[in-house]
Amino acid sequence: MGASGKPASRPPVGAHDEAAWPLMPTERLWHRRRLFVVLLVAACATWCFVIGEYVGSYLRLWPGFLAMTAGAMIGMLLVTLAVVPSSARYGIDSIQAAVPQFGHNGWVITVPLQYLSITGWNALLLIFLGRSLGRFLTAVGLEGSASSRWTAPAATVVVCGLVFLILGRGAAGLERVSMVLFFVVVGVGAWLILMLLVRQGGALSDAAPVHATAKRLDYQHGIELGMVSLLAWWPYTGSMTRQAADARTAVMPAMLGMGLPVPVLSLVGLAGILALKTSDPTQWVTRVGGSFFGALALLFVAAANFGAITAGIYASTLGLKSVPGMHRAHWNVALLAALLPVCLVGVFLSSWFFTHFATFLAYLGVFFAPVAGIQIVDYFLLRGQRISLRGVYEAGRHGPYAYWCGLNPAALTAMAAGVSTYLYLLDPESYATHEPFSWLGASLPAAVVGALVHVAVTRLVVRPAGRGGYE
Amino acid sequence: MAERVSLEDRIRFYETREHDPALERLDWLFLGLSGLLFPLGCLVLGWWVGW
Repeated sequence: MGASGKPASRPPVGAHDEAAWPLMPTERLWHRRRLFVVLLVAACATWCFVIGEYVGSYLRLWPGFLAMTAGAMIGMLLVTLAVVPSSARYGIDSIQAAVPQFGHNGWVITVPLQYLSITGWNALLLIFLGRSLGRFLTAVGLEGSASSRWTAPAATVVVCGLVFLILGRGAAGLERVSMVLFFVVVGVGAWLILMLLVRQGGALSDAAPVHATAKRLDYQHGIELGMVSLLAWWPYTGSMTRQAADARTAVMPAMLGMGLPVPVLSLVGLAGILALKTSDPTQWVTRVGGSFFGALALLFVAAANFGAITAGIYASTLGLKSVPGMHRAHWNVALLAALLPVCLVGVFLSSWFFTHFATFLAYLGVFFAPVAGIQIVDYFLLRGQRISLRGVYEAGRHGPYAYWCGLNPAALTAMAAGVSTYLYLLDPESYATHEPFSWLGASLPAAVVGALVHVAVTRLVVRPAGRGGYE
Repeated sequence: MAERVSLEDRIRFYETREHDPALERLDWLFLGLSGLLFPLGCLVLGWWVGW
């Protein structure tokens, strides 16, 4: 451990943080309210506005909100069932919790997924954050056209630096930031929603979605967008619910702290695109709210994003510690590896990434839906809710999760089947669909097909071969 | 500051910890209400309201 020789006076990163080890009960101090706050701050950010915008392309305000809410809660249910039982029971993060299903070398699937997903989400937040600051400076008369193009890249670099400093303290830094930002996030979110509903009520009732076609298909798009958005919390969830004392404590915060706020805050983007033809509050908040409150809101939007970025980078850093070669690296090295791509995309590729965000969102469902399905059936059906913690951390050739070359063919086949199912039902590039998408969506069938294939291959191949620690 | 507990001690702790269903049980009632019943209600309501 790189931490063993640290002086005691240095702000500590726990040994458990540094190595993504299972947390001891004495280290799992986040009670229900604290976990709720951290998860809510992690989930509430301006990505919600973009999710709302996409839903508003298909549905009017209330059908859109309700479809998105339903999809989000079902998506969060899948993530909770996949991750929380193992993470809250043994104090491990999402990546470690997936070792029994994917094998010791299963990180080649789960870690890149987590890394790409968190990089994408947080790059989007950095772009919004830079825009918020730029418009704030313009609103208060501190920025001219000459300096405006430097604001977003400069803000990105500064924010990445701050996140690095805060997460140098591990989960303790994350928790403190979340406690401070909680009231900001809730207050600003409520204010933005109320302002839009009250001041733009007429425009909202008349607004028609631009891509609306058939009722059932549009409705399913709304559900699907809600679901993929919450399936994307797979990498985040374990890194935070492992801090809870037990599984029962973690369920309510996961469902209500991470699941529900996303569709609620997405209402801002949904109402924005319908009434004002833009989901980006940095473009309309000063126009609708007036220059003073608008400028204030822009600062708060930036602050909300900051909390979510911090949580995301923490989860990503923990995930990277699971990669062979990285688990012995110093915490700050892994932190830098998690932060650098986010910073680079935010500085150099912001426009390109912003225009391709819908594709990114759909691809999250492509991969995380089968992962969730596989984990749920494996833990509840095939293993009787027991995993070998020693097997997760000891990567010997004869360990229960060594499978074949450290990879479980059942999970790999199931992933392939789940991904193919999703791609058939919904094209992430064009959003073209095939039936039965309008009845079932894409994520749910992908999760179910992945789960069924995993069970079948496990029972036919893996278990008879005596691999995988199935009893 | 968190005490330094080795990985081996952490694993052994969970291996030898007395089985306590109260620590391991999920809140199934809450999960069912928030993850199934509530979304179902939203779906039914959304199908009829605001089109």
